[in-house]
Amino acid sequence: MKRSLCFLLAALALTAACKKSRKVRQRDEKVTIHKKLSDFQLFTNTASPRGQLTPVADSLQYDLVSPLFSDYALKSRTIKIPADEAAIYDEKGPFDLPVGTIITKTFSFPADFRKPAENVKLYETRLLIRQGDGWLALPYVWNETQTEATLSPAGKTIPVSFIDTQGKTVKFSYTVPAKNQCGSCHQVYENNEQIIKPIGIKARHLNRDIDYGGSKKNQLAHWVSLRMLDNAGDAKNRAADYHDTSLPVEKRARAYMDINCAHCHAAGGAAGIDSKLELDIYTNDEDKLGFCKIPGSAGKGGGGLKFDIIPGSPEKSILYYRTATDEAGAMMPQIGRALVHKEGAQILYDWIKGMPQGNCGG
Amino acid sequence: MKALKIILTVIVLGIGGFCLYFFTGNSEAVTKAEFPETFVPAAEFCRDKKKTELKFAAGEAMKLQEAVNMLEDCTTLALGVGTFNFTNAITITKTKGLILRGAGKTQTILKFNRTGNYNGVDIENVKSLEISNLTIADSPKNGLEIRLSEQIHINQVRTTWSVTTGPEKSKNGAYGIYPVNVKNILLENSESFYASDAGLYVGQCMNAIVRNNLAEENVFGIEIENTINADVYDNISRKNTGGFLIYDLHRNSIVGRNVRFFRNLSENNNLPNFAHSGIVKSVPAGTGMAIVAQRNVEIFANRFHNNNTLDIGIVHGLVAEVPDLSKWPNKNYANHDIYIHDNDFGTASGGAVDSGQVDGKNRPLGFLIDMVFKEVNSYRKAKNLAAVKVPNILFDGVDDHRTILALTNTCLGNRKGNRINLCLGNFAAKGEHPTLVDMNLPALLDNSEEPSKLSIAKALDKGDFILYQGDERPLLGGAAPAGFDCRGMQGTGVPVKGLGEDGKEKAEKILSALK
Repeated sequence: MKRSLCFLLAALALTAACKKSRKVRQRDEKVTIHKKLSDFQLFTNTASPRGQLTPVADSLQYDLVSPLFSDYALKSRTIKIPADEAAIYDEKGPFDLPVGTIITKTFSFPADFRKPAENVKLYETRLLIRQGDGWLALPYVWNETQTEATLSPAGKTIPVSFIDTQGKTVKFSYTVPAKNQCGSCHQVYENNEQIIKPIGIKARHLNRDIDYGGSKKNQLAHWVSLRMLDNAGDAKNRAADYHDTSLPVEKRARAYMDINCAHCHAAGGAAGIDSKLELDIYTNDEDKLGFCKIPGSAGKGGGGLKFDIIPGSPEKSILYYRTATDEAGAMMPQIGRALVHKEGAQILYDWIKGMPQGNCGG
Repeated sequence: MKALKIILTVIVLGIGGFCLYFFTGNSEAVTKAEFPETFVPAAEFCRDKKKTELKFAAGEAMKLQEAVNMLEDCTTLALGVGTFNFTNAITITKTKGLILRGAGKTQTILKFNRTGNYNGVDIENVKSLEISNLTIADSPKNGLEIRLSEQIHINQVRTTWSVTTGPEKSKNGAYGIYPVNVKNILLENSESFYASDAGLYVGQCMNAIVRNNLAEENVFGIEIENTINADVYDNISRKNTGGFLIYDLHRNSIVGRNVRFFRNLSENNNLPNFAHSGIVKSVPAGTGMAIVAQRNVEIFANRFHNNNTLDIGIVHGLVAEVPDLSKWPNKNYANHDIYIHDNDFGTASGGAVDSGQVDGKNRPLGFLIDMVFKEVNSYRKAKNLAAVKVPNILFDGVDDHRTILALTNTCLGNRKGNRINLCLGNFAAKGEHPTLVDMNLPALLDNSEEPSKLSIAKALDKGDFILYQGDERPLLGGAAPAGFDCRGMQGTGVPVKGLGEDGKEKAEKILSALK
């Protein structure tokens, strides 16, 4: 019903809010893969001092309500959807994006986080490309002179040093994931097949205002007005911003886990399947969320502790331990971090601490 | 002591739960097994397809990383003699017909830096893969992990860590070789040393052949978890904390069944437990083999020797894992249909529970066994009977309406008979007779939180706690409830063409020689 009405409206050219017709694509249709990032012609410039690459006209900057933590790296994101086609809205999952869509995420660090817009150095740009037979994820590593990023399927370990917001120097090994590691986060299992999918391109993560060169607009509404998206859905379908200290801590913690853990820890993710710990925003079963749950095989990840969450006792909860540690083999998420996200771990600490004290029968 | 109290408390609660369970009926879930009917290893899969072979010399780690990340189907990656150093995992996904082959189990070494946060060789969602003839050393997490895949052959792979003593050892990776959620797997001629959880861990698999492997100095040697159809034979597990484990995890969606375990060696598994965390941390040193929450298991023609706590422990899921019925959605906590026969047990085992380092907080089961046998021996001394060691085989006696012996003081009353279908047959085909105890934990507890001198003496007086020594044997044969007829309890092996034949042939040969 909705669709036919939309079709009618589109036919009458009364609204731009309806999705344009989706072209029939062949499974073997492919975007050409270039070894040099510049050959994709996604950006008008190479590195700017802010580490922000300016997207070309038909590509759009976007941002998330609550981002995934990656060693404090600054991130800039773009999406380019083929002209004449649009993303199809989904309430819970990633939008259905047409073949030919290219999503980019560029990781950079400023020399000093007290001046985050100065002396920003680009490290890598990750591409997610919608091919006829599914998504392809590729890492590109920036050169020292910041003039080009080159396809690096093996990934790379790069020493990084910055001054943090407290003025302290932080030195660590930053890991550009290998191509095959992209699937360890960008995955959903369907019929025993690992399917690569975007993570952030979901309604609840995108439903926020961002600055489009001087004017603030809601991203979803803007995408719809650009005819990049068929509709903006329910305005209330919005993730909590875990940075927002005015929100209840449970909301912040759940939003934090949703974007930082749930790409694996969900019913269709590898960690959800193996460990039965499911941390997505839609899980309400306390056992699946880790309450008094004994992990089957956390190895040293368990930190010598027994339960994933003991209500009221974050220091005895594996879930907090694994996010607050930087010990090799114990850290969560499994990849993509070498540093502790102190602010994020603190949210989980406060959440567990604020629960009515339990002892999990022990 | 406090920890023990808690465990025993929950056992009592568990029995309350049993009553409910008894009246609501037994509905243990049966997992539907769907899998490819024929084993198709890489060479077979690629028979008529375009093949690529790429060669790598020692030191060409980055080149190898690039290759595994840009794989075409049916690629062979041939690694030369020497060491390849990595600062990240070798991640392999979504490929078919890959062969990753070294120059020899100890000749080609994939060496990882301990400071990362990754598995060594990390494989997900592949079909028809062979990995062979190489060593995986010092992976920060698991050595070789293969998830959610099909048709896997692991041959001549060694996983090891260079920290072999001291407290830092507990920071070694958890598992050596770890196929999980794999359909049709052949794991052979491989070995693991110094893993901080299990050396070889076959988890949540369907159709596994595990043969001719070696596990030494890990916490647990070889584990079969939530697995349907496995033949485990000709393996050696020694000098670990525990030798072999067959079990179901409570939350897992696969309910394991049909595991045969024959002609293996479990000896000297007396290493102090050095696990960092997890269920494995609660294993008392000196455990030859443990069976937890399992069904349709056949164990024969194995040798058990000099395991300090005991040779085989048969322990209920509610005791060994989680004492909460609600955490067992598949209701697969009970052991039943376990057939143990014609094994070779020495007299050396059972002399020092937890290798003499009993710890009620971390390893309460060891504490419990130690406490009970101390009381048993003081009871025996008072009656001028010789002291006994922990027997070769221990059954915890915790079960619902299907226990070997009487369940006293529970809602179930005294129900004699072997309703668990625990069948111990043809003892002492060679060597010494094994000793056996039905510990009857419910009777030992006698509705209290923990066993006492008094409750243990009462159970012994009433014959609820029964020790079988020398030629004494439990009543076997005949129909339940007096005993149990073991016929028909044999496992059936792995029903996959090209995978299960060798196990079936060997098992048949052994079984017919026993007749």
